[in-house]
Amino acid sequence: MITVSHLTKRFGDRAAVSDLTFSVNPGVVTGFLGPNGSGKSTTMRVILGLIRPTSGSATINGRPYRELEFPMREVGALLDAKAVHPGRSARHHLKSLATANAISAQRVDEVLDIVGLTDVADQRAGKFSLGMSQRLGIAAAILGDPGILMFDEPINGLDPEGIRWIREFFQSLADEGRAVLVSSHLMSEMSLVAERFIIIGRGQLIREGSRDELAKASDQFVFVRTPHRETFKEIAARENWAYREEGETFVLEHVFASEVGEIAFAHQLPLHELSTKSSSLEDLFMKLTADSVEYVGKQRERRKGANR
Amino acid sequence: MSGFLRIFRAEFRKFLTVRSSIIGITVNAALTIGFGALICAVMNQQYTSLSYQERLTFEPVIFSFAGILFGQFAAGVIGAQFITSEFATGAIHTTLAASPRRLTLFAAKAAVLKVVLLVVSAMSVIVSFVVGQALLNGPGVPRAHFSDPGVWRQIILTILYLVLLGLTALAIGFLLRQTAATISVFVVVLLVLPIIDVLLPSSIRDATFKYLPSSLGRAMMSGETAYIYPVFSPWASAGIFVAYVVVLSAVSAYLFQRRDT
Repeated sequence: MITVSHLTKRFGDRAAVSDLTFSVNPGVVTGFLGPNGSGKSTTMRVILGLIRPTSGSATINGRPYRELEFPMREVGALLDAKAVHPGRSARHHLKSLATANAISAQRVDEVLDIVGLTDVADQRAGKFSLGMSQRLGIAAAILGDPGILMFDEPINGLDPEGIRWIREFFQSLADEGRAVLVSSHLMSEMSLVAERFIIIGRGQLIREGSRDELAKASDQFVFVRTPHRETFKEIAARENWAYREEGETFVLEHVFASEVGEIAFAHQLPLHELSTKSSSLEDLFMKLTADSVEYVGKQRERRKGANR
Repeated sequence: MSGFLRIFRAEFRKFLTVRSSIIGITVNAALTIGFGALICAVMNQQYTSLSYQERLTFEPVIFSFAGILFGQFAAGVIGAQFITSEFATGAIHTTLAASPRRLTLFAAKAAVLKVVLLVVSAMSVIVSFVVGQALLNGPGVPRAHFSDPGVWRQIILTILYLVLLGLTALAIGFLLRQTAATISVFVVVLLVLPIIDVLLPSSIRDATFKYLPSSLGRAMMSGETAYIYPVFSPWASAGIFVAYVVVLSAVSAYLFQRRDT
């Protein structure tokens, strides 16, 4: 289990992460979401002991990463697929990691096989494509058969085939009872991969919860069409429904469709349409992080200029 | 197996499985031996035309060690590259994820470098000596033998000098993290500082010259107590250089432990 507690990291006077608290539990894939520059990578680097927190802590099964005797047997991490010496072969790279963590040479062959790099294991890693590098990174992450896995933007740059493979791979790791933390800046990528979500913006926790919890928090709209528009407006005013008109359709918020239907029936008001639409997780994510997105102002201005 | 030994073995594997370190070692040995042999051959041929004064200060051992002038930079590059290449490629993050105890990692890298430079330098220094002395075979040309007084001391301290240079470069590399910056500082210390020092007033120069790493190295190699300007005895020079490396490594390791990566 990863426990991040009141974590703050300042670079100069800029706080990359401030007072962040969350935990990553075994058995589920946890999506770590936030716009670019929101502090996801910084947080993961603190968890791995690469960066010292300004205050607060991040621990692995109760201990700071830097104190772990065999870290790769407890945590497997893929932060940067290219963080490999380009002159060393994939096999030697993995063997040196295995030696440092007292992992058998046989396990090196196993993980090479799992990620499908056996045939190119003796080639220099510098010659690998991004996809191959990513697979080498995954091989290193699972080398020590760890109970916790962390992946920073693993879906970036993968083809659809690769995305599907990695999604199933994460799920299988979670099904084996491991804690899996996967970061992304795109909700659309994560909504199918993760079960739990930690959403941050500007280094602060915005929302944490399961997929269902977040779905409930996202807005529901009720769409109504009726030939007796004036009657409907009177009823709406009496019932205090907030609505807006989109052409023929009334769009209602903060009300259940069942409620609308029953009251319309009580007034013998014929309805031509009564439907609901919930905004997607992605809409929620956009809404939640809208205030925390950096650089957005400039982009909008540029777009405005382009429209003119 | 203790933590240090595991990390040592991992780092040893890493050192041997990168082509650049193997090339570095080979070039180092070839230049050291080759250049020493060249100088000895030239000296042997020119001996009859040397002045009386030149014959008086003829140091056969030093001529066979002429290649150390190259070897010292090769030792520095090997030491620097061993850590700066990891920072350059980002591989340091993978290394630290596998070996998160900074001081252990620093000590393991230093130990690997010690072993490698000890073996390589011992080989190239001894071969340089044997080849060089064999080439000083003209009539009347002085030549040294292993049994001559002080020769083993010169050989051992020359090997030590190269090992210490490598460790110096490693410690600078851990501090500066960039290959070019590290090698620049290394070259400045070894080549530029002596030149600047010589420009100073003689009172300051004579007091400081003997503390420069290049002067310490020269004293360790030659055994002469007067090399252009006053220098320390060979063993005292070795002791001072060891102290430099210990202090520099301690500072470097401490900051490596403290700083973010």
